[in-house]
Amino acid sequence: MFSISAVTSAQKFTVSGQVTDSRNGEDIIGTTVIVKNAGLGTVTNEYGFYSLTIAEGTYTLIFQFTGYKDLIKEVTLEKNTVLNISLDQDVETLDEAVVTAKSKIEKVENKEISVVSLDIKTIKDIPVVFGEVDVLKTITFLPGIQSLGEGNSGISVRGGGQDQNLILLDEATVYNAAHLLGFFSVFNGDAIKDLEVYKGGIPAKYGGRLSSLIDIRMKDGNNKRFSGTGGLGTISSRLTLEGPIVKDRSSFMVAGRRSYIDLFRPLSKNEDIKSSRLYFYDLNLKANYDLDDKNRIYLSGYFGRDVFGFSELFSLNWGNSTATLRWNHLFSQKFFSNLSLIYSDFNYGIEFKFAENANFGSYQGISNWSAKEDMSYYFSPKSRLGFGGQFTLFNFEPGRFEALNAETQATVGGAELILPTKNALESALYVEHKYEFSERFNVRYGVRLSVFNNIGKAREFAYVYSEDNVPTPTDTFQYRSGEVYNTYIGPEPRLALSYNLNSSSAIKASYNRTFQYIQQASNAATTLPVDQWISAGVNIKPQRADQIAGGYFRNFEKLGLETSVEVYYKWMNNQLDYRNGAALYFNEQLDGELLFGKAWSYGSEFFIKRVTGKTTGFISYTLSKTKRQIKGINNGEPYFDNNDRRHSLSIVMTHNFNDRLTLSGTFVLATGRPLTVPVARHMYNGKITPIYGDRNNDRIPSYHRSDIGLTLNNKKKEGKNFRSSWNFSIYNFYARENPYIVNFEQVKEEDPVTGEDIVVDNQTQAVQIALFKIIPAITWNFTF
Amino acid sequence: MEFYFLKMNKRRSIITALLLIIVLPACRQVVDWDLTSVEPVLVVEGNISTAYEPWEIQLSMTQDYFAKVDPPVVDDAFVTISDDAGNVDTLAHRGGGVYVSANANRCVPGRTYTLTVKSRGETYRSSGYCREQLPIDTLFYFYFPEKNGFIEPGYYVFELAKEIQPKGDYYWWQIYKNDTLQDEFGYILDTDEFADFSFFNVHYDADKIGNIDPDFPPRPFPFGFDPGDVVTVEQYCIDKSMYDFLNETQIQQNKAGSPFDAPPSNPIGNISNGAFGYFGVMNKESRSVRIP
Repeated sequence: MFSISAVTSAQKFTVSGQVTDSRNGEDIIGTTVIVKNAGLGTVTNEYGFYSLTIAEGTYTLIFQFTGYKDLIKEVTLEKNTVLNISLDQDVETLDEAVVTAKSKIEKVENKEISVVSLDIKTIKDIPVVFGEVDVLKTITFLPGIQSLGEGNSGISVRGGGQDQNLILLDEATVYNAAHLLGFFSVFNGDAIKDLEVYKGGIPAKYGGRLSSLIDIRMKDGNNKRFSGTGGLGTISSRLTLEGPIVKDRSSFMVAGRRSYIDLFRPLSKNEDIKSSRLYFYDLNLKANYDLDDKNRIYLSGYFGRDVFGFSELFSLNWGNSTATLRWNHLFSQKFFSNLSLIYSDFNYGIEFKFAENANFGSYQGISNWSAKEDMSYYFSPKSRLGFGGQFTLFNFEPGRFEALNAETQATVGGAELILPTKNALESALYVEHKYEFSERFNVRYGVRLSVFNNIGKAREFAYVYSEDNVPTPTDTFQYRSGEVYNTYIGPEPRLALSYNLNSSSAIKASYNRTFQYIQQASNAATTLPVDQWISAGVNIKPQRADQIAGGYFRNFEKLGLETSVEVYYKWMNNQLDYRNGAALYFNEQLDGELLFGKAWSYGSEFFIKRVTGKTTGFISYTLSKTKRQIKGINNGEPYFDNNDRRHSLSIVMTHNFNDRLTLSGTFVLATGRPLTVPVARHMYNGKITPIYGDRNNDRIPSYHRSDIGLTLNNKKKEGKNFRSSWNFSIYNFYARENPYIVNFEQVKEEDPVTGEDIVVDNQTQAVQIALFKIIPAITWNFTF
Repeated sequence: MEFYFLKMNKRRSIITALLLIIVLPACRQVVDWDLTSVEPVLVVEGNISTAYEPWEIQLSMTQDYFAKVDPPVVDDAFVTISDDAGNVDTLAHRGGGVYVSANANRCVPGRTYTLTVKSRGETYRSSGYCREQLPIDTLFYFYFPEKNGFIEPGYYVFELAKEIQPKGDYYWWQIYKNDTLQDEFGYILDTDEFADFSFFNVHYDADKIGNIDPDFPPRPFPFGFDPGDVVTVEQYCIDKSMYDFLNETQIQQNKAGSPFDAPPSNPIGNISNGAFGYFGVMNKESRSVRIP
């Protein structure tokens, strides 16, 4: 007996499978799989796949995921076994009227340092402006993630720039996440399954941006039955349909959204409003198909557009398109592979019509094709190897200026003016190993090697600079089509350590180096869709960041509390700024207008989250400092970065009175953004001209605001799947006028005779403009 | 009417402005703001040109941004303008910080002029090169009958000229209606750097002058006139640094501190020793036309 047992313990078998939701067949990402009494376990990957290779024997496996009932499965391992699991949602079933997922504390050992996520259910409960569910706006309540301001979907992660966030929607880059110039983000909450933000400790699998990875995954679609979700909101209405194509094997999801304020336009008496256009729409599509046990295919796409204009005179439109084709393949039960082919595009156009012979259009854009292979090899529950690579071919269209009709062409003497497009290839190979030295100590270490090539056909310039940094091109270089004329290589080490002090507390640390080869040209505090994407090249070095972070995580099970404290320091090199008076648009020699320097950010982040009970929510507080030092700005002295906020506090609370009524409230308080203000003035040409002091020598007043929301679920009718709910919200309910714009200007008075505004001699003032005062909204939502 | 300013590099501010107008009933209020003070610095303002007239230079000092009085003038300076042909002209204080040459003078194209200001123990200098000018071929007008959102009905004046090659020319226009400067759009500046069209209408067919088709008009100056008005166009050929200075000054004078704006910066003048302002050397061309 004894000897047999010794032999069998050497014999190892693999149990693997897919974990899905029993109601709709959606893959459940991040399910914990525990091998009871063995101190072993794993977590499902982004496709719900898990694999455990353990010695022959009989085991009890426990599958756990927040909001779902634990599932306990006995398994006897005598050979390799496939075990697919369906988890039931953990529903409080008082009158079947609502589905309220019961939450559980997430174990400290399963948490990763500098990674935050919010589940879609929570996001939908949190009140937002105009009642429009917005995943990007909502994550700014989390520590280390700062909203760049009202009416702006831009976010800064640990002091980083808006364009330093890699926003992925089903692995495809979303270059511009803004609808309506930033009032809303482009993601339809009904189409999103899962969202995760890496503020640091970014796995070697991902690269390309300095500061964060925002990984957003669309729903796969219900493969059990046809169903739908939708709503009528204050700004837009939505409809999502999903269902099986082949039951249990294949499903689809289609989600559409359109704003409709413009539909009320014809009712307006104002001619300007009548002739204006202002709307956005977006469409998410997804389908998947299980070919067999070893192969599965996913196809997903996004298409969104904003249109904005005044009659024929002016129009602006922009949008993103993405497409992702993925193939999951199991080489064996231990060897998982995913191959993705990805396309992303962002472009915008501005058209003007001054007269019949003055009708112009100006267009810009960026697009990329990408192939990505990610493989995981599950040696044992303690050891997992990830490796793979990605090739991305970028095409930059810096500007095309067109005369839109024959008359205009005749006037300007030509049909169009095109700045040469540019091409670049970003390639990366990575390997990463996750290893558990003991039940207490685990480590994830790896390296990503990124290579960036500028590829012809292209024209590049060399510059000399005047004392005031005004560039003069001195030399021009021409490169043939397909010629690789510039290369950057970036080794990016990544490391994450975790040590469990006991079952309820852990300390963690991480280090990562990241390179960023493309960025948005903007010299303002926030970027706009019209700010063009530019590539590293002969005159622009790639940005590089190093970040270290450490954290202490502690759960208080009885109180239902999860808490954490993290500290970080981030060094950012080759940061760009622009000389004063730089021309950022339609300038082939934009790379001559640059100034280089560095930035650094450090801070501490405190987080307390209550996950159980009728009252749930979280409090997050971030204390941080972000500075920049650029040669040619501020006499080369360090100054506060536009994203610097000393204090940032968010409180989010939700109370479930019963299954029908949920009340939620939020409060945010943050230091005002830095601002450059005058220190003196002088007269020029009879007008007061301000003289500005050092860059960002002052700040706008602190930002604070509180919102409340109430969700009322209607009673479900017997035997019907249809359910509906009302959501009422008040944004900024105490009507704080948060300054959005601060102007220093001459005082003007109305002339009593002509009624025109005239300047009062020698009188100057500071004026602040607030965007929103108090905004109530009603939304009606339904599911069937 | 602001079609004049809708150049492609202004797109950002246009978009923000339109958005703010359309979507938002924004709330505006005057607020108290503490600003720091700095030591006053000399400000020089004065342009000389090829027109035969007395030369004038204005000297003043900077003051606190929220000061409620006129800027302090400098009345004890020693001011000269010299050229590289050896001519030196001393300007005398006339009052109010204005220094004037004893006689009328004109700049000669091809020469470099240097302004020297000695004040309170410091010396300030600036120099500028007088460029060749592009002559105005024809100044004419047409009637634009419709309101189309950008243009009001009225008589519009345009000029025809032959473009100087190569590119790299910078111009500033001042338009007068019966001796009143039309300045509602600030400085009217243009360059041929961006494309070969500007207020010169180089591609416009001169045969059409007597019979303008309102659907295909030339590019006029952006002011409407009435019958009987005498319209004077002053055209100054300036250099790039003055063009940039005027542009920047105008931006800073009308700065909007929104998060979409570039951070404000002080226009780069051409006076040494830390003084603000600009000494311009310009080639001037002037022509008038009467709307019948």
